Amino acid sequence: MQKEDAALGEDNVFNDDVIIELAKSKPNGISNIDIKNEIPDVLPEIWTKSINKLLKSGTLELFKDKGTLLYKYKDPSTKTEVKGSDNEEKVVYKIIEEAGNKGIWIRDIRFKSNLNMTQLNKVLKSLETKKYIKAVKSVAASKKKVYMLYNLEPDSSVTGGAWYQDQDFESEFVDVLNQQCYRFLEGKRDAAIKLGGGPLMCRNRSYVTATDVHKFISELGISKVQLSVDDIESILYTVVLDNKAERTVNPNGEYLYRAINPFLKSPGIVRTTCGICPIVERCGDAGLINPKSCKYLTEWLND
Amino acid sequence: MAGRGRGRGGRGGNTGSFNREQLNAIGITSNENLPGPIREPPPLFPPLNRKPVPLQESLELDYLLILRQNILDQMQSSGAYLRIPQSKDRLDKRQQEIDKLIAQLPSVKEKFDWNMLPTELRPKLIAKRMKLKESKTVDVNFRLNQLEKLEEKTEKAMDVSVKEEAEPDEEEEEVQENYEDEDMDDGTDYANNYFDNGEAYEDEDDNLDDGPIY
Amino acid sequence: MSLQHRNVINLILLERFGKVIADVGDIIFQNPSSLYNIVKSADIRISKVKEALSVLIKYNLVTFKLNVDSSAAIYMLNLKNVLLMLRFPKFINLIKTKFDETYEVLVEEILLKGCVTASELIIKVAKRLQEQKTVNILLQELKDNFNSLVTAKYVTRLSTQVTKAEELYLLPNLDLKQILTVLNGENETLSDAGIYWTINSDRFHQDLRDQLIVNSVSNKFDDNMGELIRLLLQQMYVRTDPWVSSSNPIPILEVKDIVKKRNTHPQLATFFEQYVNILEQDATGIIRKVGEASGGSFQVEIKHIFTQLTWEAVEEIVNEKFDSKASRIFRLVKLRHYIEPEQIQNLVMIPAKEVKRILYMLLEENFLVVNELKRSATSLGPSKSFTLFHIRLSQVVRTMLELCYKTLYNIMTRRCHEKYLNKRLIDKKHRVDTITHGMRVQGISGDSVLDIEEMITPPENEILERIGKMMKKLSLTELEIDETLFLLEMYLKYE
Repeated sequence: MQKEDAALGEDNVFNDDVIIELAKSKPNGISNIDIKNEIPDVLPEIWTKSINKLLKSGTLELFKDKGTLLYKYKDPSTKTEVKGSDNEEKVVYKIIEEAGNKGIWIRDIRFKSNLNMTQLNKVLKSLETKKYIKAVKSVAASKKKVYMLYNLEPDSSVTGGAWYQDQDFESEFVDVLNQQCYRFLEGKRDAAIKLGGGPLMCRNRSYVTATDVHKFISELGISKVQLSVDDIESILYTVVLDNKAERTVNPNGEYLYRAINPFLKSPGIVRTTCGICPIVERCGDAGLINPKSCKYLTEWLND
Repeated sequence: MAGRGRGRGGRGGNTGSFNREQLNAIGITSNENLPGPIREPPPLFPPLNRKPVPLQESLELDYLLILRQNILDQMQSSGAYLRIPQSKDRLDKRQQEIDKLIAQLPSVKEKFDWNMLPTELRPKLIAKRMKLKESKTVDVNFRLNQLEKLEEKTEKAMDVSVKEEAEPDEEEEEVQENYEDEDMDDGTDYANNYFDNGEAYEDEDDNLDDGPIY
Repeated sequence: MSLQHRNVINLILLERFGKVIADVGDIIFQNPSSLYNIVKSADIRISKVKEALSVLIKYNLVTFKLNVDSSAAIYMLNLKNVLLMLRFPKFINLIKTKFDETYEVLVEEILLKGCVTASELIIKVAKRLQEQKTVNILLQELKDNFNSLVTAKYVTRLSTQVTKAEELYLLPNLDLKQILTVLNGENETLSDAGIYWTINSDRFHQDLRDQLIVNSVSNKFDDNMGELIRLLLQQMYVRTDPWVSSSNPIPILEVKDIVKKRNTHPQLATFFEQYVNILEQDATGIIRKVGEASGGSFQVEIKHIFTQLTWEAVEEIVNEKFDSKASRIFRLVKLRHYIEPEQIQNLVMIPAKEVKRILYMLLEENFLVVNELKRSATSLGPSKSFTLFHIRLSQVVRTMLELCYKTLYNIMTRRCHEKYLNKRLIDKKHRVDTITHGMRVQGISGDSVLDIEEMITPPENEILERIGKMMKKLSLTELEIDETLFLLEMYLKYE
């Protein structure tokens, strides 16, 4: 009973440490059965999640012994030595290590190491197999990969952060957030107008910070991932770029946002098909694309 | 073996024409999504996914439309709208009937102030008439000089001068009549031009329609 | 000038003056020409060409330069004035809104005639309105109203070689007795013969410009702010030429007094200083504070306002022509002036592939331009070259202007075409309407009228309704495009 309490910790959230301690205590590896025996009242789904996390971060290593899965504790401090490798691998490893969690392009490794491509590829393959390094696809260039140390969590500049799901930019998600942010700004403005008190007061009441919007968005619960205030700041800037909001700075250095109206209604030229026509450059009296028989005009006229 | 699966490009799309080796030769190596086979030429009018912004509606715009149409109608029935005579061999009987009807309509001739326009634009008759006015003006001055000289001459030649005076008088009257003519021109040129219509302007048949009126 | 420009001018002339004049206009559009050259190129009888040129000169659409040695002249087309004819309904409506019906009719008749003497104008208008009032009162009113129009500079003397600048708005010497005589059908020499008047388009444009500014400010802020800017513009004229880029300083207390006195906008009166403050502080920079004395003096930044309005219009065109992602990118390039494609993607939050596609499209259609900068090779990598995207607004505006001309031409052509296709039915309807109208005037009603009306079958009526809708759409579009033309022209005027 005590063990479970400890396992669940203060917030009733499962604590990885129990697993780690158990693994430490058995340096040859622990099995699922061992874990179950240790904390029988904790649901397997919960500690399985923990195992996966620890595997990913490199704290646990996976082995198979006579058909049984074992998790071995890996001391991170012993891991800096690249054992059993030649000098070239050492050099390459060092270069990659320096790049931290932002990773490094293969081309840049080549410049720094002065190895030729064939050699380098061999080295990289070897390091990868030994699980010292890994290749991560970067959102910056979809075909290229960066190399980094195996147990590192890639930086958001590589993964794309909240906006990327497996290398795919989540356009729809961004659009939805954009709309919701604008909705929030609109609401603030309308409320301010209702309250009255003169134009200055109205205007001041319409301002929000990214933090205000962040709170609103979080409460909406439309996001699967946790968004930071900076993320919201980025979204708000797109609303500014859509000419729907204005951004100013307050004395504290924070950005303030406010919904705005445009000066003009749509210009007359876009109220007919010629103004939006994709083939208008080819339109003339002589050819097949001409005003008398234009399909777009016909459809528009019959609307 | 090599052509299986991969050679068809990703996503199961078939390129139809090329196998894997040929694609490689061109430079397409990966199994990217290749466009499907082209079965027909691309549409002349690619589908338009958007609609233009709807036109505005208001009473003011309706009134502007009325004003606009009114201006067009007025201009088309005014003297400023020039028509050219129809060629005589219009076989369309109906059109000929219409032409005859239109010819019977009174046409409004545009009135011009010839002082505003270059002299070369004056129709022949007007040019003649104005030249005549000018020459008549000269005549008057000349005549007046002559009269002064005559008066300075002695009464001895009175008989003769009376006679001679009679002539200048007549001519003066003539000149005055012309002056009146001129007044009439300025004041109601419209009437004059109307009369001039069939007579003065060179072979004018310009009451006939010249095709679609826009 | 461009093909589009030429085409649309041709159509405008054709609609109003017929083929002969349109053809003559087209010849001198391409090259200012002599009478002889025109006759040669046009293959029209010389008498007709003479008449055509006379009409065009009368309507201020053609000017001429006399050769020193001969009486021959070179004729030039006034392109601005031809396009201006599209705006006539707006001019008339402007006067109607600002004054009343008699003013409206006066202006309309001047436009219909091109140029006219004051007496003749009054005679014509009096004939039109004679049922409304007794003649003497009407004539006096027309004389006064005409003089007001001249004093307000809506109407100006036609300037000839001899007219001096001071004489342009000199009131004519009108004798109402003479006018009455002519009205009654008798002949009379009119005292102001030879003095012709025409509209002063600049003055009308001034009002349209102000209207646009007021409406824009009202849209962006609220009606009170619209009223504020309207009064600022009004007070601007007291001390500034109408077409400068920024006004001379206007003491704000003047405006405040007017607001309080007129009492039409109580909110504005109550929070006057706040409104002024907001307008001045706002990023749009519509007014600028230039002095602190007695509440402050402010300048209205007209050129700056039009620059912003033009930006907004262009952004909207990008928005509708492509999509909202494109307009977002376009706005970013505008804000940053020069920007690399790599920087764009993160800020606009659009996937890289699509950003590239949009940039390419905008480049193709001349909304963006690229500057390439090369930096010399560093020790590490190869030499870097920067690709910078940039917008040249003037260039974009000119491209849009051409698009407007082309669209106008297309719309007008289509309208003529639709009319032509349905000519038979339209003529039939016209005849039926004329007959029934005649019947009603004679007091006939009931079944006989219905009989005539039934000559048009229900399916034909449906078609007619459809045609009517189409025509209305096309005509409305013409007016709408002219609005865009006006804005772009204003931008170029202040450039």
